[in-house]
Amino acid sequence: MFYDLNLPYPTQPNIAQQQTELRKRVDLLIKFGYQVVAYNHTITGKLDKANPINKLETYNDSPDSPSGKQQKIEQLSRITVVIEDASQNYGLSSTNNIISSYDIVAVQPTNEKIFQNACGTLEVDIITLEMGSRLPFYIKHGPVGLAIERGVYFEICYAPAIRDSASRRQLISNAQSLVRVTRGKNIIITSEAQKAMELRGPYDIVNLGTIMGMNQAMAKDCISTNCRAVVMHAKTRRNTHRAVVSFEPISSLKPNELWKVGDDKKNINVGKTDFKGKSKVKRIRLSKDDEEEEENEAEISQDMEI
Amino acid sequence: MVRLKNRWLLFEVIFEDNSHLHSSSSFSSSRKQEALSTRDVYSAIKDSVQINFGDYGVGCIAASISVKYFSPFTNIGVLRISRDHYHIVWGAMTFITQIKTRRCLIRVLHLGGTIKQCQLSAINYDRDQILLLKRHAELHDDNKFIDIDELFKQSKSQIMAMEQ
Repeated sequence: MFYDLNLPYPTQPNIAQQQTELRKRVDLLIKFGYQVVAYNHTITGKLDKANPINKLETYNDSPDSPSGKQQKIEQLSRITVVIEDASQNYGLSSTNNIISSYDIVAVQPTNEKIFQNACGTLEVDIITLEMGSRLPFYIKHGPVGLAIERGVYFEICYAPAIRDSASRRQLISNAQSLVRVTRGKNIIITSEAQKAMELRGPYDIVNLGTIMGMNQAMAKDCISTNCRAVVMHAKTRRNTHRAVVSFEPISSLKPNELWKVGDDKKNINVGKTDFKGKSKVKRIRLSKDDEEEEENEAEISQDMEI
Repeated sequence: MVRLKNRWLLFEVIFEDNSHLHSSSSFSSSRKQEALSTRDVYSAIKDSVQINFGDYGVGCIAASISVKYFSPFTNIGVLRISRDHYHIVWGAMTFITQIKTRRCLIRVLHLGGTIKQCQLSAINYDRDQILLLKRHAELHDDNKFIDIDELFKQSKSQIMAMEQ
């Protein structure tokens, strides 16, 4: 399963031309065999606007596959906050409604102090750097190690390398130093393609990764396993209790999953959580201090998300 | 003596001007555009190696690179390169944005150790493209679509005609 976690979303999505351009890019991603795409919205300064990203309707009418199978791509939304001032409070916590309306949160630090801050404390999924131009600071082992420990990932965008030769040089040099510092761990490769022609196939990117100093297995992880880890990290940050348990109503269970609540179809009162429903709650691996809170939330029937 | 081992790359050229959905249905439209020849693709790749990997890169690959096949209809091609340097050529192909005057991108479909496997996957790819064309024709009620079996045969015989 291949991921592209950075497809810039049009700044003015209402203009038809930009919309078709976006569609072209997504169509090409599907053709290349990607299965997940994240639309990226970049913000400099204050977070005050609501999430502008509208996911495209699924591609039901696409005649792209010869077998006639439906071609689908999972669509996510992502926000990238460019941080220029360390003292300013950007409200990057999951309690912020604007932030939590996005699936993935990324930050782009612009100086060393903020970079350290982002690696050590900020509650984000991805740290991205503008690798197509000269970085204003060295990437150091200390903060990077901290970020790896916390499960935060670093991003390399390959589109600048395809656009022009000067940024290609910078990107290769920056990417190599990032790979050296992280020892190839916790890196994801994304496109950041403004146009469809800047996208490349997954295996072409794996080969590009080998040019940046990774080996093939590592490079492949950068567009598959590591990206999945980012999505999971984002999910656990957003809607779980201490990243261990999440709640879902019984009504959202699929018929083949009903065994999890120890019941078959006919006994379940779909959509209602009455007192009877409470007794059907199944408790899974909770530590003691969680138990109390559990009681309060037990009105919602729960199921563990794996 | 150790024999020289090769890698065979099966690649596809995707152009900006025909929408990629119809990339292969351009039997007629790409005809109007100047069709690319094997030589054009070869020189584009070599130029890209020169730009991205310099004289050293060109020196490494010059002895063994050859474009064995390129079909201007389906826009797929087969390329041979010595095993030690295939990543240079592949990297250079990734960075190509233009061949002659047409903006395009190159995607590698298959990387193999023998020409046989490349031929097989080229035939598979052609078959998929032809079926896709047929579905397109059906969707648009296009009745003048040609005999598919004939197309299958043509593509197979062309691809199998490649020699070491």
